[in-house]
Amino acid sequence: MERKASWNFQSTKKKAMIFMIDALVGIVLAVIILTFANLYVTRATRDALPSVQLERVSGDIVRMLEYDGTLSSGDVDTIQSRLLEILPQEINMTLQIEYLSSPVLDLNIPIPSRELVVSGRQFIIISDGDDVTDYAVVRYWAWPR
Amino acid sequence: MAKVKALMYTISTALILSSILSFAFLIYDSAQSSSHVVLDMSIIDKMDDMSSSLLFGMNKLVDFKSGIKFITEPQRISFIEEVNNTRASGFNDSMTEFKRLVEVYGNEDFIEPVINVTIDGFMENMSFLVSPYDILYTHQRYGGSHLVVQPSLNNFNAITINMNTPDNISECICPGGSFGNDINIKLIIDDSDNHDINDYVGGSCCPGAYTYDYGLYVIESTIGYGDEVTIQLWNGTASKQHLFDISVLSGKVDVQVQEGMPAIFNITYDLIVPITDPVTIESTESVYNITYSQFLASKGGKLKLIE
Repeated sequence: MERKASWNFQSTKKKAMIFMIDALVGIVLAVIILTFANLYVTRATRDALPSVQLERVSGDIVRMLEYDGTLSSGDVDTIQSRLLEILPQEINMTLQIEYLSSPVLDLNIPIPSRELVVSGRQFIIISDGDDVTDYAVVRYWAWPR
Repeated sequence: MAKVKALMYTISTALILSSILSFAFLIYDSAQSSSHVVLDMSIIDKMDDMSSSLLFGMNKLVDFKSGIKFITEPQRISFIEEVNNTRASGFNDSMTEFKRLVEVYGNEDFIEPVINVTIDGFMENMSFLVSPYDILYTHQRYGGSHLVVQPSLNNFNAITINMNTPDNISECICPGGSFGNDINIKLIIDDSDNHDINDYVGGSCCPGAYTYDYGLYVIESTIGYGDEVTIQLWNGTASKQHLFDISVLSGKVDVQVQEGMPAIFNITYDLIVPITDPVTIESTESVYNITYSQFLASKGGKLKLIE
């Protein structure tokens, strides 16, 4: 009778341990799944941040081109060579300038279809010294090199 | 006993599942808010980009075409303008053209317009506020005959009014005003054609000293703070045509020029304190509004000439 009770006790202890191990394995699996899901989310957010940075840098570059008078030149080669000078190595960019009283000027650099591309537009005054000669809208597209 | 075990098993399974679900919900929620933050940042950047380019363009137009100049020096602020301002109509045309460009091309991808340029009120008065010195520079009608520079604080110790007037002035009268020691007015009448000083009215016209040097008459007057001085100038024709009035009251300089009689005014406030704080000169009225209603984001602003 005493042996049977001892056997019952050992059997219950074994079952409890199996249940514990089962629960632990379940928890570990759940934690792993959640961690991977979280990692995926974090990476997705982190991937979106460079687009904001790209937008800022490309906007600044267009402003620089206006500020130093390059956009007022109306010459594709001048704009392109200045753009290459100031463009950071990690970024590629193209511009289209639509003047109110001159033909559209396009740098014609192909925009990649499978990359993250940001775009924006700025409004500029074309001047010759202190004289305002035209108005234009600059559309720009930028993507990582 | 078996029932209790089954019950315990069910409860623990339910607990584990509900915690997994809660975590999943939390992660989903955080992913959503993260993507919203990135989108919001992107929208704010786009607004900022367009707003900067708008303001930069408008600043350029004011600088090149308005015929108004603001100069800040270590202890003085000057405003220079021709009244009547003959450049007003050209400036207004340029601003209208720029507004058209911005509204046509800025809104081309949207059903509801996102950019609205509101320059009508601004072009009407061309009012600017100089901060932190609270000096208002305004016109009754920009391009018209009435210019007002009005400080709201007594933080200056002298006002200098320089005028380049049309020639043939033969009379200057100061019909009223009591004079103290607080505010100094210098009235410089340009006489580039070197008329004889006797063509002009004598020293009794405005109190103070006269000097005559290189074709300039300099009339210096000192008036008391809070007193009013009115100076009227007449030209030398037989009919003694009235050219303009200048009145100064509590630092407010009011210039009224007869239509068709332009003169260039340089009104300078000598400040009591050195300019150490950054000076801001901005329009009193908002000139643009950018609204992305689907993101509940909007940005409006005044034209900032000096910041």
